[in-house]
This record gives sequence, structure tokens and C-alpha cells, in this order.
Amino acid sequence: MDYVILVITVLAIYGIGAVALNLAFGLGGIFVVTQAAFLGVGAYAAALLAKAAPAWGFWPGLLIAAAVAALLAWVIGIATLRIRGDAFIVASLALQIVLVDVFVNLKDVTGGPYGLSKLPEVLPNRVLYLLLTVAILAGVSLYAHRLTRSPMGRTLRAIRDDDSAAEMSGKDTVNTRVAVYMVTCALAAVAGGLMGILTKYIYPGSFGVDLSILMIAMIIVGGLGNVWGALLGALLLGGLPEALRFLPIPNDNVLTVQRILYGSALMLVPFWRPRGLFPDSYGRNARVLGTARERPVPSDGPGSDERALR
Amino acid sequence: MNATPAGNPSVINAADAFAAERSILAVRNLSVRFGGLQAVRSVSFEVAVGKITALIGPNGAGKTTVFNLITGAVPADEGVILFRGEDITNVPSHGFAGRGLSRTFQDIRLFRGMTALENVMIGFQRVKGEDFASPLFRWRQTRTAEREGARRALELMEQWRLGGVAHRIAADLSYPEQKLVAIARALAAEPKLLLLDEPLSGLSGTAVEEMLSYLSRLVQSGCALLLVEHNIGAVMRISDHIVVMHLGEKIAEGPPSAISRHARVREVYLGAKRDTRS
Repeated sequence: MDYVILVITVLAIYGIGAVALNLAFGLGGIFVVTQAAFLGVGAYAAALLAKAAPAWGFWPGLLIAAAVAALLAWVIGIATLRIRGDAFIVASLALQIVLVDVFVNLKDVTGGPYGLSKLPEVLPNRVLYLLLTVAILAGVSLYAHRLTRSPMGRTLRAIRDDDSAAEMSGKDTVNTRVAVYMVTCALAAVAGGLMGILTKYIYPGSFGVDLSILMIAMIIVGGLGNVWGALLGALLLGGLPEALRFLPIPNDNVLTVQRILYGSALMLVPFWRPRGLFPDSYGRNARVLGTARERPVPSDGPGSDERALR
Repeated sequence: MNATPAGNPSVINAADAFAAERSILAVRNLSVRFGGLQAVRSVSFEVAVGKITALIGPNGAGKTTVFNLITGAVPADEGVILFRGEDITNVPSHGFAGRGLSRTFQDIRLFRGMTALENVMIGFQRVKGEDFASPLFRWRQTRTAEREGARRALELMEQWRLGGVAHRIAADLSYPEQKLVAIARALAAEPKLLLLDEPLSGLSGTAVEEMLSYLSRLVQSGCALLLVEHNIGAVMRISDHIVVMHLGEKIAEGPPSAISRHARVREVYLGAKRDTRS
């Protein structure tokens, strides 16, 4: 039973990370490869505070983790988010690697490659811990869902679709991109902070680029720009290794089979549903804006004769 | 035309202020060089309030570059741009829509994954709840403002006979529909001056006529227009003032009647006619 609770908690933490990533990546179109590193920033920040002041509980740790991550994301963002397209992907990947190197080499603070262990217990039992994580996941998801449907969500999708047209429509694209990156990183740090308190042991290896790519895969499979998609993606790809335990596969091969299935999912889902399992369909649904018509009326605008000829 | 006082181009003297009342946009000695190519050389002209001004010239004359210089998409090497008396030469691109200057693009550039209605709503300025805190603290007000905004956008679209396509994805619309959505998006910012980059290109005969009548109505409603256009016949009919460019320089300006008789313009266009379309 304890094990099941642990698995669900970890899935919820993945869910927070994926939902957060979906804001900058799915909505804003920023190819963020630093998600795992920011989980790490949050994990270290929360763990260090828990060690220094165990009596404070977990809230200050999570808040400080979010604040530290947002500040770091701001510094990184104003330096790199002026770069567009492929160049930013390279910069983002480099940052992911540099941050993990910092965790490894800043031995006095982070404990180096062995990390921080024997972190204090901040919650009396696993069930409370699960409830806390699920509550935070619910809050983050609600926020992300609303943001998607808010004017800022629309602006982010506009920046994703056409940067210079958004700029000419009066949107400060650079600062908006920096801001959404900060939100994504701050929420990733909360997920990381929760992970640190849960395992009571953190080390740089947990925050490598493979976790970043796993989270990118989660939202691509689930559906970019859709909160439900991110949640489903986290559940499917995060839960896959656990599901494999129930199959009669020799222990030595579990990892291989896992990678084959995970790679197949990444290839097949975009093939079968190019926009993910839950595509971003906001706006097509006229009811949400209260402008639904009884029946779609064919346009009699200047385009109609062209269409008739096709 | 005299250059503005050297060293301090943002000083607006009394003559400028007078000119600003009649002209909404003043371009002074605008120049830009791309590597070895002098794309625009010391071009000056004004756009009158409530009038249609056209910028014409053969391919490569520098017309779209002038648009890009005005809207800050390309930084000018030299020159001053005054919009309603304000020096906007160094204003970033996102600062124009809020000041009352909008533009369309030759290649339309809609937000392709969004509906036509959402495209138009992007054009609105100073939108309530366009921040990261509103989903947390002002959600109800944000939703109310959104529904009101959607209603206003739909109203605007119906004026352009786009009501029927409001909820379709922009990428799925026909070419003429996309052009109209792009104009509606620019108009949502309630511009005082609209820059139109080839509004007629790709339209068939009846669609051209309809677009021209839309543009005339738009000017009557008080919005000045500056357009780049290759359809010379249409330009001659609807423009109040024409600026002709050739190889980065202004070679003539004046009312259509004077331009059609202008010797240098005829030479450039007849010469150009042989190797480009008529």
C-alpha cells in the first residue's frame, strides 16, 4: 500500500512539472529543455531550507524554491529569450547541462555528486504527503487551465504562431516570453521541492536532461497547450515503468522494454494524432466565449466566389 | 523640405506642430543600407489626416522597407519619423498599436492555429486581465471582460462580413477571407493610421472592387491609410496622394492626376513594364 501511495505521489509531481512546462512550451511555443534543472533548483532550495530550519515545515521551502527559480529564470530569460527558434533550443539545452554541473561542483552547498541526504521529515506520514501533492497539482492545473482561457493565454498562443504579427498587435513579445518562462520554472521548482521532501535524498543525477526530455514527451503525447493533455501525458509516460512491473519481463530487460514502449509512444501518437491525445481546441468551441450561433452561417464575404470556383 | 535641427531630431518646432495638425505621419530623410545596398535613400513624405496615401514603385523600389522602417521592424540608419507630432523613430514595434498605428503584412501573417475571432481579439489594446495574476485573483471579471471583448470583435467582423467565419481556424480560411481577418485584426486596435501592404494582391475582380469600397468606407470613418500597392489602376482611382519610389529614392509625389502625367514616373513604369507584370 505504501508503495502505491508513493507511485501516485510521484505521478502527481510529474503532473505538476508537465502542466508547468505546457505553459511556456505548449502555449508560448518556447522549446524549454531546462525543466529538469529547475526541478533540481527547487529541490535543492527546499532541501537546504528544510535542513537549516526544520521547524518551519514545508511551505516556506516550497515558496522560496519558487522564488529562487523565478529569479534565476528571469536572469536567464532576459539573456536568452531574445534569441528565437533553433538557437534558443541550443541555449536551453546548454543551460540544462550547466545547471546540473553546478549541482555537481558546488560541493559546499549541494553536497556534490552525492547530493544531500537525511533530509528532515516535514510531514508525519505518506498519506498526508500524497494529499498535499495532489492538492498542489489541482491548484496548479486550475491555474494553468484558466490561464489557457485568459487573454494572456491568447497572447501567448499568438506569440507562438507569429512573433512579429503579435509584436505589431502591441504585444511585448520578449517580456511576455520571459514572464511565462518564469512561471513555468517557478512551478517546476515547486514540483522539485516536493520531490526533495518526499525522497529525503536528492542528488544531481535525478535532474538530468533525460527527465527534461521525458517531460517534453509527456506534453507532446498529451497535447500541447491543453492542461488535460499534460496530465494524461504525465500519467501515461510516468506510469509506464510501473505498469511494466505487472508484465512477465525478466528484471534485466525491464529498462529496455520500457525504452522501446516509450519511444514507440513518442513516434506513434504524433502519427496517429498529430496534435496529441487532447489537442488544444480552445476557441473552436464558440460556447466558451458566449458567441455561439444557432448554426454556422456560410460566409457571403468577398471570399465566396473564390470558394465556389474550387 | 528642411531637415530637422541636427543633433536633436526630437525637438519639434512650431512649423512641425502646424504640420502635425494636417499630417498624421511625417517621414523625414529616411535612409537604410543593407550591406552594400542602399535600400532607402533620404526619403521624405507625409500622410494626411483622413486621406488615402499610396506608396508605389516597381519591384525593389523599397516600399515594404519603408513600412518596416516606420514600424520599427528594421532600424533606420538615418531619418526621423513623426506620428501625430511624436518622434517614434526609436519606439519598439509593440509600441505602435497602442499609439494608434497598425499595419498589415504582405504575407498576411495570421495566428494560424487560432480562430478568426481570436485573431481579431488579439488586436484589442489594454485588455483587462491580460496578465499572469488575473487567473488567480480576478477570474470572474476577466471572463466577463472576455465575453464583452468577443462580442465587440464579432461586431467588427460582421461589418467586414466575416461573421460566418469567426469560429473557424485562421489557417483554414480562403485567401481573401484571411486578408480581411488581418485587416479586422489591425482595426481592432482602433488605429488612427493603418499601413496596408498590398491589400489587393491575390484578389479577383469582384473582390478587388469590394476591398476598394471597404477601404473608402474606412477612410470616411476617420482612419488615414498608407498603402503599398501594385495595382496602379486601383491606386489612381482611390488615392488622394501618391508617393512614387524607384531604387530606394522618392522620384515624385502628388495627386493621381499629376502622377499619371509625370515624365519620370512614366519612364520608370514603362521601362519596368517590359520585365515585370503590367
